[in-house]
Amino acid sequence: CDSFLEEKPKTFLNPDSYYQNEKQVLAAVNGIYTFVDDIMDSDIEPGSQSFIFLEFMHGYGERMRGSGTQDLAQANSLLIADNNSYVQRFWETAYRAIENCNSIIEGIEGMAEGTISEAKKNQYLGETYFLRGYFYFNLVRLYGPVPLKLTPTKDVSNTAIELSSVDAIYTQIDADMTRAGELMEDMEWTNTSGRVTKGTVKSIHAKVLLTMAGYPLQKGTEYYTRAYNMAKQVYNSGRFYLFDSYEELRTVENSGEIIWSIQREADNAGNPLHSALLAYPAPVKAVSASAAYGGAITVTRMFFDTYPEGDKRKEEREFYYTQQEALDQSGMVDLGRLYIYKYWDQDAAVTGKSGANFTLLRYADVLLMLAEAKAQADGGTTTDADAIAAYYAVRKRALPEEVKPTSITVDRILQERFWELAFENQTWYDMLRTRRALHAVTGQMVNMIGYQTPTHTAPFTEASLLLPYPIREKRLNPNLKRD
Amino acid sequence: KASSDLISQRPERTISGVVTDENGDSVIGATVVVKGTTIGTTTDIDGIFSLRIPSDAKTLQISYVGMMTVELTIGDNSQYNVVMKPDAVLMEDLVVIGYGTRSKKDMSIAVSSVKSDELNERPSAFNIMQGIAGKVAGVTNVSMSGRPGGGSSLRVRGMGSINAGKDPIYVLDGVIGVDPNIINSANVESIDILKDAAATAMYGAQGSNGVVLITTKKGKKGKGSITYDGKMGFGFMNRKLDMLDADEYMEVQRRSYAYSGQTMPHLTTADEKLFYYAKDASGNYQYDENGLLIASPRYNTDWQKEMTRTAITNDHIVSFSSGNDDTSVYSSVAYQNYEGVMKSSEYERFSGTINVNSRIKDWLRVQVVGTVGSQKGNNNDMESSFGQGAIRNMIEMPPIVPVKYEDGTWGRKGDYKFSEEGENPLLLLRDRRDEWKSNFSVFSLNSILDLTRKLTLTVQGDYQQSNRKGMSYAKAGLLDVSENNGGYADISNSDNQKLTSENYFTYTDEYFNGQLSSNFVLGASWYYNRNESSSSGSEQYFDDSFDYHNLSAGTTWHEPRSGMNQNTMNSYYFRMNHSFRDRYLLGVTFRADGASNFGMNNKYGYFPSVSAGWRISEESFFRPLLNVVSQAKLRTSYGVVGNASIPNYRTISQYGNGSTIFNKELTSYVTLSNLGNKDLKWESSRQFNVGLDLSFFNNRLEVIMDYYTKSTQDLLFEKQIPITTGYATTWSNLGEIRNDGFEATITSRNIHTKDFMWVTDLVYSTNKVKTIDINGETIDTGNNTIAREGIDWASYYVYKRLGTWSLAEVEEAARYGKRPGDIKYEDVNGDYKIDEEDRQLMGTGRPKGNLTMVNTFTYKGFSLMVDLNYVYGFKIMSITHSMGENRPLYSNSVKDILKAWTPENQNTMVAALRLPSDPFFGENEKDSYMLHKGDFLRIRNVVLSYSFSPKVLNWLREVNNLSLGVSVENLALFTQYPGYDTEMGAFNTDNGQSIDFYSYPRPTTVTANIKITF
Repeated sequence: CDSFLEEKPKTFLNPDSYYQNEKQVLAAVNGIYTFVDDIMDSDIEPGSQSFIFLEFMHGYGERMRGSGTQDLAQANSLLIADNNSYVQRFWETAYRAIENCNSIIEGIEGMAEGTISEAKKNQYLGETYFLRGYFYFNLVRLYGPVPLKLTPTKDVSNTAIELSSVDAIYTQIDADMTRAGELMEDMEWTNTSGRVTKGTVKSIHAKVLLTMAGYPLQKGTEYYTRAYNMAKQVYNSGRFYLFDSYEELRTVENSGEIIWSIQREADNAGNPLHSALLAYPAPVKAVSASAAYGGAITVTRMFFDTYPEGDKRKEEREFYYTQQEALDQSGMVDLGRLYIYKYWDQDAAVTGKSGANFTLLRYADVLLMLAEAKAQADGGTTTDADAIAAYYAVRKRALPEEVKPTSITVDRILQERFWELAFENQTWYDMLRTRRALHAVTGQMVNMIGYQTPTHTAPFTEASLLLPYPIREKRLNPNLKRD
Repeated sequence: KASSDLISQRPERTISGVVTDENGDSVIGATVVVKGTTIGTTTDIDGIFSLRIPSDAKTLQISYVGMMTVELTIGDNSQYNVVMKPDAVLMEDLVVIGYGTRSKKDMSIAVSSVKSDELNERPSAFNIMQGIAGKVAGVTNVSMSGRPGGGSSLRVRGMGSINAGKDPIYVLDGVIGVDPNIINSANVESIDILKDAAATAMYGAQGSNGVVLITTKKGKKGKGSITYDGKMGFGFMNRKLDMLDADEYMEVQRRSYAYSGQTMPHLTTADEKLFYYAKDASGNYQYDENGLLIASPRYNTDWQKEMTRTAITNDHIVSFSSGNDDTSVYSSVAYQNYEGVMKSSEYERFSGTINVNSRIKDWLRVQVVGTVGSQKGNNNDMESSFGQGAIRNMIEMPPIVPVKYEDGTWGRKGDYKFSEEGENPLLLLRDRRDEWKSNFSVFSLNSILDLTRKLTLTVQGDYQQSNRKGMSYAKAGLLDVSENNGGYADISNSDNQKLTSENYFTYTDEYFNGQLSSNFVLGASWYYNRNESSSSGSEQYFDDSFDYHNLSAGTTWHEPRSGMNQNTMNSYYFRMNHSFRDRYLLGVTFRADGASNFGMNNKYGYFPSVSAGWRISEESFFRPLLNVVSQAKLRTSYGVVGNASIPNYRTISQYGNGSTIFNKELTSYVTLSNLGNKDLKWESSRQFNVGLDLSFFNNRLEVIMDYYTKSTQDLLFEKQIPITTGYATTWSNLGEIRNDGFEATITSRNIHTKDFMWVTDLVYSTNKVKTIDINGETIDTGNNTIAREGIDWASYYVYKRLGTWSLAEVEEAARYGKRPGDIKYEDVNGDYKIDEEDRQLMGTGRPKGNLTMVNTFTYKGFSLMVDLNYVYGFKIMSITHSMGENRPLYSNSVKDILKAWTPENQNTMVAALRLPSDPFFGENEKDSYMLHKGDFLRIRNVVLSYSFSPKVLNWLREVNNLSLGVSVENLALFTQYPGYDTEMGAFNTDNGQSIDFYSYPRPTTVTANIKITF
């Protein structure tokens, strides 16, 4: 009778008896990447993708369509409630990914001799350690102290994990990134696979170090120097370069300036951005075959006007646009205002399906990090040749006429970051780690606390810097308390 | 042997007589037969019969519905006057109780029965669940839908479970786990619903939600008969949503633009497609004093009218019945077709059934039951992707857009600025198909071996099979459906097999000189279930003519999917029933069930029950009361039953798989999807029941009352756990909920004369579900409801909308980031933040009580039945209505939106109208304003019928029975609720009860019925 009542599943695998061969490991590691994708997830409301929330937090963007729920409106008033669905989504994505990482690390480490080659083991472990660090990095930046969990869940007897300090979490992230770097040390800097490479690991590690040097830990010069050295390794690899034109940012994938991106494909894994960022209300004549659910977010006029005179990034259909060729090629269609063009996907405009990748990190960012880290390490201004060259490479692409400076300040580099990386999910994190904001009238850097952006209804305060713990999690784990 | 007897019998003489009831009134149409033969007749309008009988005829049997059958020994007389006594329906019926039957007077458990006639009273009830609704105290239908073939499920005594299955188990002629949707109620002889634990404990692990035992019709001994029962009806909308017309729609637009300091675009740039413009003689546009064009809407479309129709329903069944002493056969073929009031929605079913009973040997009786058939439906009115459901589009289509423009192009939702993109719902109905069909079969072989006179062995083997196919096709060019994929087809298949084996001994004996009669059952069963499914699809068709029939004609293929799961169960059971001196009743049951979907340590569960009854009216001290109280019985029971209906494989941790992209290539991945819980075990529910059966004035008034309290423990619950574990939920056994309820059934024969009868049936039930123990947690039960210890399960938990901020409250409003005209919520804790802590409990969607009153008047052959249903004490969360107020400009709105805030009208619940870019545009945090009182009174059914008297039928030699009728179902609904109907179930789950999410309108149906027996 016992065998009559035994379950014999055929449609899924059991993690308890997994990790027998390389192919299984690969499938499990691939699984972690599906959580990186989650910033594309949205609820039923058009244009409510997760990443868009962070673009409302900084206050340089505005929304053309109604939000339906108050979740995005809360970002405008900087009064984020603990039942805000974005607050839950960011948390959920990170911890699901981390659990998979924990499980994979345990799984690979426990594999029998000869079931996986040393090279594959290093690569997969490297990717996994890196991704665990990456998700903790997102968590600690958004929520501050969070539970630090490094082993897989075996049962649910003890789920109320205590908070770890921000310091302890960053120490772990640093350790995971370092470990990933060591494991991948002998591998190539970059390739077109779309997977995490040594270049990805070192670049994000530089960002981790730069953040540790800044707020909230303020570890200062030592970490600015470490960040500089880390960025320098990427710089010195010679495997990355800035594209000549901004158009290539929209057309070239997995090489050149692109260090790491979310992998998309039109039929099986579409990218909602093209459609979400279309003009709203839809122009009389269609400019894209995609359903006109646009209006998710666009740039404010005031922010746009802070770009320097003659900046290429301001030019029509570089980063932004006000008109576009009609789909039936009957001429230009006026959109009535500025919209974001960075993510324009011409294939999607024709077929209605976007398969464009979404860049998570590009070389321009690394160059600016390098310059900023050095300027900070040097006390706010630097004359370091590499730092200036890195900064100038980004600057010159926008303003070819401008002469190379002999020294640069931190503020100048930050300003450039705001302009160059606008609406790429970097700005809010930059503001959190530097506590600096770009003044939308003067275009100058100012202290973030106390500054009110054009679209926010209140100035930034200390309370604006962290998201609340999600209500669901607070209910289930009473340790999630802030002082 | 029997047939040779028949041949040798020759009628030799004629006997006659009069059949009357106790009052001396003649009994018309009583069946008079010579027992054991097919020789018989019926009484005429004066109760008189005459019959030629063979010389060796020994016994005359006289029977009539509602009367106790009389048997007379035929002597030498030729005149036999018979007085029939009314059958005490309450006490004398034989009731199916599972693994046997029991006389109702000997029962100490709570069982309710519905007979064939009652079940078929509502002609548009296309399944037994709808037929039962309102007939049985304590049994409610929670998800009635106006959609033909729409989901429908019964709940017995409230909610027995929270996450695990809540449906009762359906048993068809002993076959466990039958899909009730395949049963044609015209084939049903009776339905017995086991309610208390002592009754359901015989079904152990499957009994906790109640057991519905369905007995199908058997062939009758005697002359063979053919019956045709046909119904044809017309259904039409009787309630409409109060939507804006074209002028009101433009007024909403005007106010929204004005609030944001803008003007409507068609007043600056002419839009001749949608508007008429004032022009002078030479065709130049005229302008008003503000320099704006003067325009009025060209169209005023009533989309509800355009999308609905008079629905035709057809229901036909032909049945055959015949039998002799040893063998009887009942067989039927049926066809049902129900159109929905929404255009193109329909449901169709063909079915055939056969029921053969035969005594093959002296010691062996066999019953073979088979049902086969197919059903199909078209669901293309349902929402398939965001915003593209035909019902939702019907409600939301702007009235200024026509079905078709003058040039023949179809109007689309987004034709005016800001209006959301949406396909024309009529085009969706025309060019998109979303069909399903299923084939089903049930086959059962039941043999009863009489081992001794007292001991029998029943061996039953059952096979059930069903497959369901879903087919959809959207022609190229449907906005947001097939606009970018050039034709879009999908096919899905699922296949289900169930094998069961039931084997049990029954032993009946008497002791102490017949003072104690006892009955014992001992048995074992095995169950096996297997499900397989697959689906595939493609898009980019070069031609629409393939529909969904040729997937390879598409060039882009959809991800194929398939799955399989199986589960098994193994049971042992025992029951004994004792009746001592006809007045002291005792029942004991015990069942052990093992199921595959539980953890290795908890495979088996054990379910005992005990019940006792006392027929007080049999006691000598009661004798003085018998004039008033003719019968009285007190019953009580206690038992434990289980629930195993959770998904398979929950005790095993799982890696779920899929495909993801790297550099444009698909590659496989796995992610953790389930945390196995090896300790998962049965959910068990303990139920105490006390009941009283009374009958007054010689059974003129009958009352059955039951009080129960049912505590469900170790609830199988998909419990939320902190995401830090890597999982959102895990299945666990948790806490306790309790259902308390009271039920009463009253039957009163108010007037009972020879020609006129008036009977009133009252069915009342009330039930409350309380959360007793959930580890002190607050559980989100979905759709803005929560569970917390001490409160009703799934209570609405929402902000309280106080109204809108007025101009006098500018500063106060600003502290919430709001302005006058924005919605004002109650800030319970006064922290100037509207968040979780400001939510309040606001009742539930489960009615407190449900009362049905049926009055039946019979005059000679005429019969009039009026069925009223009153339901009270619940709230409906209307997403339909609140969306109808939150999305102006995007779509059409309900008329209530005209009450929106303006400086002149500040005392209102509706926020000021504004353009979508306003941060508080369409603020729709689910709040108290969405909740509506759901109480209603419905004239559920009115039936007028006429049965021709035997006298008239004598003219038509071959016709034994003929009746004609007409019925009106859902004649009227009295309620404050502004939606289509007060009874609905969104999302096809219990949590969707009383949530109006673009629910399907419920029609009023007028049906004509003819039933003729040859």
